[in-house]
Amino acid sequence: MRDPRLRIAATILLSTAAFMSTGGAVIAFLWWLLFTPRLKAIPHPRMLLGVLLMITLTALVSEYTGGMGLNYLVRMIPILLIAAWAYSDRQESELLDVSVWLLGKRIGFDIGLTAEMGLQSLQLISHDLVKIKQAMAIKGLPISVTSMVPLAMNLVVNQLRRTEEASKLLTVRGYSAGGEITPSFVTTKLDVSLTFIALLTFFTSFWLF
Amino acid sequence: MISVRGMRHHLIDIERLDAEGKRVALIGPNGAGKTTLLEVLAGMDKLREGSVKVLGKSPSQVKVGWVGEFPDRTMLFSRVCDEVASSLRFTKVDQEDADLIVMESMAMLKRPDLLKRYTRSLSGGEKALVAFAAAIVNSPDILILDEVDSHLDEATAGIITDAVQLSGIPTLFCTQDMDRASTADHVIFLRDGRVQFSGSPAEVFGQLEDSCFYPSLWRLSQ
Amino acid sequence: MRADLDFMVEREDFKLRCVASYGEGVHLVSGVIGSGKSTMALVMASLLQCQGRYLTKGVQRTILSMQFPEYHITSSSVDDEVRSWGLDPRDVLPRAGMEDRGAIDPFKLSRGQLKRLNLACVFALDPDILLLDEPFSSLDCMVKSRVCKAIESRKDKITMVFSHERSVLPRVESISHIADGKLIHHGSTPEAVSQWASPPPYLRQALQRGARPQNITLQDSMEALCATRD
Repeated sequence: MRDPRLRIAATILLSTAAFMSTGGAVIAFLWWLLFTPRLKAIPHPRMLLGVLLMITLTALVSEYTGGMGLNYLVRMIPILLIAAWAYSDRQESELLDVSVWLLGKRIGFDIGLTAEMGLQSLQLISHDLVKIKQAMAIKGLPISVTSMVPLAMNLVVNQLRRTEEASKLLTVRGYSAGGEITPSFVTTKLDVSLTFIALLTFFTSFWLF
Repeated sequence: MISVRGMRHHLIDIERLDAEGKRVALIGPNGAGKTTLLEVLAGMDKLREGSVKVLGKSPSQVKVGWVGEFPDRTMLFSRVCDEVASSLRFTKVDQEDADLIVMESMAMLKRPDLLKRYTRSLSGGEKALVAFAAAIVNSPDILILDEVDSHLDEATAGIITDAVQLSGIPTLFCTQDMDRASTADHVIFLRDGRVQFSGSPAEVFGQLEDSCFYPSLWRLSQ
Repeated sequence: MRADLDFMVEREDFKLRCVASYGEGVHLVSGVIGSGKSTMALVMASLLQCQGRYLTKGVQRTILSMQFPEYHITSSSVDDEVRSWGLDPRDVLPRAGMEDRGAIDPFKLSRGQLKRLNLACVFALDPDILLLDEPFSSLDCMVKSRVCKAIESRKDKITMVFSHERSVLPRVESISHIADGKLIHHGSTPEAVSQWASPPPYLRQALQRGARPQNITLQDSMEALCATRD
């Protein structure tokens, strides 16, 4: 989906539907099966598999101890799959657009800017981590509990330095509060149709069990 | 362009310094206090003692375009167009006007194609160009560049040098490339927080002839 | 001692193909930012998987000095940092000009000082292959000259210098250049000097003026120019 607002709306509607009832979960699953690239849209298949395994275990334990375990499993799976799809379908910078659209050019812009800077930091931290691990391998130091301390120190110090740089950059670029940006969204007919189906699923889920 | 009086700030101790010209170069060994001085002149750091003037005004009243030593590690936005336009966004310039200025600046840097990209996908040299474009979009009164060339290859550094000249904006830059410094109108040699030499390139490098700070192209033509 | 390269690294929108062979001595690898110099260094340090082969002969130990020295820090004092390389601070710190800095936190050093400390450590280790990724960045010309001397003194070992440095360079045995995803091996000096795809300004000028420098330092260009005047 091109329009992040509709994607977020559809995600919320479908997740709620799946949570409400097994029938809702089945339709949400069908929605995922029909309208997303399915397994290709999963960014970290191994991570998702791990989460699924954990949920399945919980469900089995619950089922054997007299709970509604399998029912829980059936409802959780579509929620997870749709969350994975929404995550992989996102575009960089749409947080800024959505937040300005929702909350305006002052608070919305500030929240969006913070989110953008946070995302940049995450990317840089994962880059730092790769470099630090390489540097430790060069020294022949194993990654162990004791080496975690200098590793974490290194990450924190690097991040603090960058934050300081970023705050100087904000000052010199004239930042005080808020900013002028007109978010633009591309809304396709497909986006609208898919969100409409998600809306129907949401309402239907109240009638199903 | 700049004047400093009785400045005592961290390790910097400058009684008097005046530099005029369109392009002023700040040079000196590691740890001389070059970045500290630039940050005070850019209004990023508050001066502890003394006074500094940039273009006859206090730093806070001057619109500064700044590029630091590691432009590739300090991007604020994920879209290149937002990053380049950031000073226009922050100062609430109308979006349509902003878009136009952003396009013009990237065209001047001969890379309008970058505007459609995300900052994450840029190479180091491209990020430096974007940071430079972000520094010039709000037509600053002065450009302050802190060793921008020390992590750049010659081709990218050359594009930036050309753009500085084309923009016509007065520029204060610090560099370890003495061939580049020798093309400035005024050169300041800083050592241990003090101004050791200040004057035209001929005057300053004349004093440095026996050191490695002497420009290599000058030595070659001797 | 020998290092034979015949490999390829491919990532999304990045490609690097290296075919070359390096023996004892100093070898320069130039190229613009992002061209693949660091990637090549990582493969030679066995820190990155590649397709193809990277073989060494008679090499016991390879050490890589990264462009950003702060990544190497694993200790909370300069003394311990030197010890973390298995070295004695009393030997190493005087060489970095930091005799009195042993007790302080390495993160309190400036990047230039940190670079000096890191280089002093890797030179003291005296590995068979020393990979220096941008050893000159953040350094002033006085320190650069000292680093060049240290590089040149490693005559019977392999030293790879990955750099875009334009003013202070060491004497080298061979020159390679990376462009468009490919390593171009210009061969040995002095023949390679005039072949080099990205010579520093002084060398380009000397070549334009008809000089034939024996190597790539400023001194070589000056001597070659003097020779043309005779």
